[in-house]
Amino acid sequence: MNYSIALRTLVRKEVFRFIRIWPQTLLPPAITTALYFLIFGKLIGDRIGTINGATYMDYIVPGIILMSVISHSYANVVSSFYSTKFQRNIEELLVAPALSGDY
Amino acid sequence: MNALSIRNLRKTYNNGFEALKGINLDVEEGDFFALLGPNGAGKSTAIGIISSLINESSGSVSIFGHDLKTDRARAKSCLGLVPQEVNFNQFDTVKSIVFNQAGYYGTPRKLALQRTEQCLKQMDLWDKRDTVSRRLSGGMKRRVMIARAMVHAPKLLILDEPTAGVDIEIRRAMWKMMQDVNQQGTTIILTTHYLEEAESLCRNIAIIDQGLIVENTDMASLLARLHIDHFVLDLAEPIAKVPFIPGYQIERVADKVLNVAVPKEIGLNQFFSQLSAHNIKVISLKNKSNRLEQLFMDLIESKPAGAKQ
Ligand SMILES: Nc1ncnc2c1ncn2[C@@H]1O[C@H](COP(=O)(O)OP(=O)(O)OP(=O)(O)O)[C@@H](O)[C@H]1O
Ligand SMILES: [Mg+2]
Repeated sequence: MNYSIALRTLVRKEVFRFIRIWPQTLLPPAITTALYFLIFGKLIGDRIGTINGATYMDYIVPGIILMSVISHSYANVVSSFYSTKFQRNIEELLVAPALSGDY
Repeated sequence: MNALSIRNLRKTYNNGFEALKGINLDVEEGDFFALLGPNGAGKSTAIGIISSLINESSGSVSIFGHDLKTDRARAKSCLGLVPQEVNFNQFDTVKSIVFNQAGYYGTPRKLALQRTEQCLKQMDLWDKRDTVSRRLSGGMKRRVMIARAMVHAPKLLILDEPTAGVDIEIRRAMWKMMQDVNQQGTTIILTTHYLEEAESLCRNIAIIDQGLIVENTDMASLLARLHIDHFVLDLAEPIAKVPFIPGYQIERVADKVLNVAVPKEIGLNQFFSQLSAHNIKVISLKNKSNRLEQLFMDLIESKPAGAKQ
């Protein structure tokens, strides 16, 4: 039994799912992140000005991007599992010898 | 070797309902096996346990000698399951459903593509391969599940009511397909409520009722137990009075229709000569209900279940 194939199949399937429904998975985080940049980075940042040559925008960009990436990676796993359980296609995985419990 | 062997299998659901009360079952390799029983008998529960979707309360299951508890991966890879209800992702395409399943069983990509094409063609779904499965008809969805179950070439194929809601043409095609698959050496376990289907396809049969096996035998000896055949006669002319013919039970259904119960040991010859003597002309004759149906009802009705062996 080749578990790496099962793992690869699962990863490919999930990535395709993520890309296919991009209006649900990629668009909302892009919009919220852009809003954060606008409000905190631009509107508030302009009033703060530069500190030691760095703008407030430079300061918050990495944090906001990472926050968005991390929270949506959790959210995506949850929604994927939820729909898999709801449509019962989790059974496809349960009947196959693809789980660690089967070793 | 037995393809499937079940020992003392019990299942009590969380709500306290005892769906299986200790069943024992052996299915030989290469067999075409029917698992019959009324609604709620516990067929799907048993199949769920065999395919590791439901945890048993006690008892053991082994598939081709691999115990489900100690050798689960190997037991699982021998098995293909067509569940009773649709359980694939409705947003995936037909091809990706079947192809991904091959991947979960560890089939290398190239072989998986080949097998996917082969199974989809066999199920007459190749034209629909890029259709999103939500847009398929009910019968097509069932066929997708059969293709998916066969994609890893299992040695034991379990089909839980595969022909429910499938049109006659496709049903015939499915029968043919199941027979072909069986002839190629795959063991098949089939549940169905169409008894003529079980009668024409299966060699061995188990009837389960209220969580107990009430009958487990081969089809021929089960049918041999039926000693009365029921026939429906269409008559040429309406008759006013039911003729009395000793040995046969005759019943008038309509002006030109008679029901007759024929004991096997007497046969039909005498009946027809007697009818001619009464000057009754028969146009056609057909078997009343399916023969197995009658037996089935007898077995299920002879409660308490399990008493009959
Ligand atoms: N998750 C569950 N929790 C509690 N009881 C259940 C559960 N699943 C099934 N049952 C009960 O177990 C019994 C057997 O159900 P099962 O699905 O095995 O019947 P079946 O023989 O497949 O019937 P059918 O021919 O209608 O498919 C039924 O009485 C059902 O109500
Ligand atoms: Mg069922």
